[in-house]
Amino acid sequence: MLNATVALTGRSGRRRGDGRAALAFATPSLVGLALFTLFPIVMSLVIAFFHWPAVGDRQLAGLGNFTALAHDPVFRRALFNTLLFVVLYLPLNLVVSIGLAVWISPRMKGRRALRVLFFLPVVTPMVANAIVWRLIYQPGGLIDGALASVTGAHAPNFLGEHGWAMVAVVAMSVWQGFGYNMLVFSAALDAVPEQILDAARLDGAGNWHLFRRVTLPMISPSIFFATTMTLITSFQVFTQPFLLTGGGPGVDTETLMMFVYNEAFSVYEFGLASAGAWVLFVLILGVTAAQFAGQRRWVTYDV
Amino acid sequence: MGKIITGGMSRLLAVGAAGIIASTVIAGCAGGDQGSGGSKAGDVVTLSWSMWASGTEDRNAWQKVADEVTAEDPNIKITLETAPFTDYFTKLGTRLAGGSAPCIVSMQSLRTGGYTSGMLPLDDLIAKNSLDVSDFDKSIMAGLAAGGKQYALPYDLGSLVVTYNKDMFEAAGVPAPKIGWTMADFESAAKALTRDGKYGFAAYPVDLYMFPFLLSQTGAKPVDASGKLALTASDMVGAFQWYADLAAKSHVAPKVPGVDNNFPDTQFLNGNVAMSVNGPWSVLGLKQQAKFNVGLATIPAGPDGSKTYSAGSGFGIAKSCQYPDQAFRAISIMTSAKVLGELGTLGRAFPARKSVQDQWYQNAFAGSKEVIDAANASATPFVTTANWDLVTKLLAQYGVQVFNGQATAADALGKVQQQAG
Repeated sequence: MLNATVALTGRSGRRRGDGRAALAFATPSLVGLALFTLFPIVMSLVIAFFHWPAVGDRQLAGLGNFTALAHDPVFRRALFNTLLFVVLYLPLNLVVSIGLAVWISPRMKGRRALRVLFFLPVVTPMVANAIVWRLIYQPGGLIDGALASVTGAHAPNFLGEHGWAMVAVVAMSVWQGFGYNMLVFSAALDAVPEQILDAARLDGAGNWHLFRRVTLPMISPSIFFATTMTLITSFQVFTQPFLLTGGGPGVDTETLMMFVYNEAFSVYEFGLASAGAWVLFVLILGVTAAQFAGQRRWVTYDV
Repeated sequence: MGKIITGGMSRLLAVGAAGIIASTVIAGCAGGDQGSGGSKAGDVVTLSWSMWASGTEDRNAWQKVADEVTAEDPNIKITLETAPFTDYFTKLGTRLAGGSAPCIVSMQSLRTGGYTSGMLPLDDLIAKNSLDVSDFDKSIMAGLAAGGKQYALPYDLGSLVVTYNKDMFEAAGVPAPKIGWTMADFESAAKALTRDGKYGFAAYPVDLYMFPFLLSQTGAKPVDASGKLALTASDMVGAFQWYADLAAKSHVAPKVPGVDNNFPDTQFLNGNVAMSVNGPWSVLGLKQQAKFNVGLATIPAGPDGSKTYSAGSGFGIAKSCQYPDQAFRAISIMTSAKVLGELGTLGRAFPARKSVQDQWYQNAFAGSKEVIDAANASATPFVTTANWDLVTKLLAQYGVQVFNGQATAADALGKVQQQAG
């Protein structure tokens, strides 16, 4: 009895000691997290409720910034553009990355080299990519030049023409971004047990059925992961339209992130910018939550 | 994706991270005592200076200016920070907002109005140091002032002129533009030069390059007498439409590939267009980069003769600077006749001091003096609004559609006016 108590207190005492050591080790990252993540997040929420110019007096604005956003045609257009980008980009990215992952999945020659090749756009700097794509898109550029020399007709001015600019941005983004998801799917496909596929084949499943009824459900956790991550990053799209079109022509390619950036760093309305950022955050949170809620219906975790 | 970090490794990292954070916090506290953009060790004050620069050559020219200050006054050291012009004002605005602005701030006349709240008025310091400002060109002194206060001492000024590719003119058999040439001369030259996939002119909706042509064509100015944005006035809409139609209708200028404010410069330097607009501050860059002979011409004359704008830049002091006296001493040296003369000889700046302007001509293109003199005589300072960065951005975004024939000038200018007016 006595021994047990001693042992217990001894153990719990040691556990407290571990806790302190753990805390000591965690402190650096906790401090970092608090300083560079939590503080800015809380601060931006505070700023969102203020009229906060770069220099000069700051005033409490209440919900003023949010109502201003609701009435701002540019913000509404940016919201629409962001949704349009997501709707175009996400399915394209998934189809291309799954398609290529399936294509290089069988034991084909040069498979590793192809994987590296497809992954290259992800690791090359976006700025360099954008400059190259500008040269491809611009009048007299690669597409226009090739088309003119073959057919004599001119290609559209992709980045400067209403109706084409968003398509051009999406195409460049898919090229830039599919490699990551392809790698995820490729790994998932490798992990599909050969016996299951063999069993399905024995049962008379054709290639399409095998893919649709066996392979896809088997890699559905990866699809769920890729969809969620891609959705989040595509809501935050900034670099591609910023570098390729500057939001133009007009506001055809101005996304929510670009709106936030412009309000903050060319108009210096930090309040409005923070409010916009929080609208984006809530939007992403909502869509991600909806995805998690819906995953039960189609994601299979049992083998 | 990466290798799993081993226990020992992570402990090492944690210690390292703790060290970094600790030193950041300590440095942060120390910084709080010192204010921004300067520090003092003994009698020597180190001041930071932010400047725009387009490349190593440019940066070296400015580094020499910084060294000049220390040579003149060993108690002042300057740390030069440079950024490309397109990013410079974004950075500056953010740093002024964060209270971490550099001590010495470079300022362009077009943008002075937007940054006055973060800058120190220099009038008291000018009086206290009895600095003689009569040698500075009056128009650029006015350009760097706002609300009756002087915010910067000018280093350069310049009237916008046409730069042209002499080789292309000769190849096409088009006579070189003379001072006093008209818009009709310009349009017929542009037409003759547009051949073999090359174009006569680069038309693009960026402030300094576009508005001189609009001013000469109809007298339209982007800002009215009361200082308000006036883009929807009929003479402005008409002039903008005419200018955009050079690309959209008469096709003597290339299609504009989206928003790219370097477009006119790159097109001209690539030899893709025969004419562009530029200021004397670009002569150094043009001379070095162009693989053809460059000539200068005045902006073509409209019904009321040739008109152009002048703009320029200078150095001011941030309000947050703890050493305004030393900073003022520094910017006085940086805008002294000696330094400006050297910058003029380099071709980096057309000196804002009248006494040394001759030095700029020594290295400029042949025949430059007559053209620059004529341009200066017909120039008015380019007046802007406080939110000029926004106006510039919107003009490019909406303007591009007019240049590609997908919108009218009235439509695009109406939208810019509505969002920035």
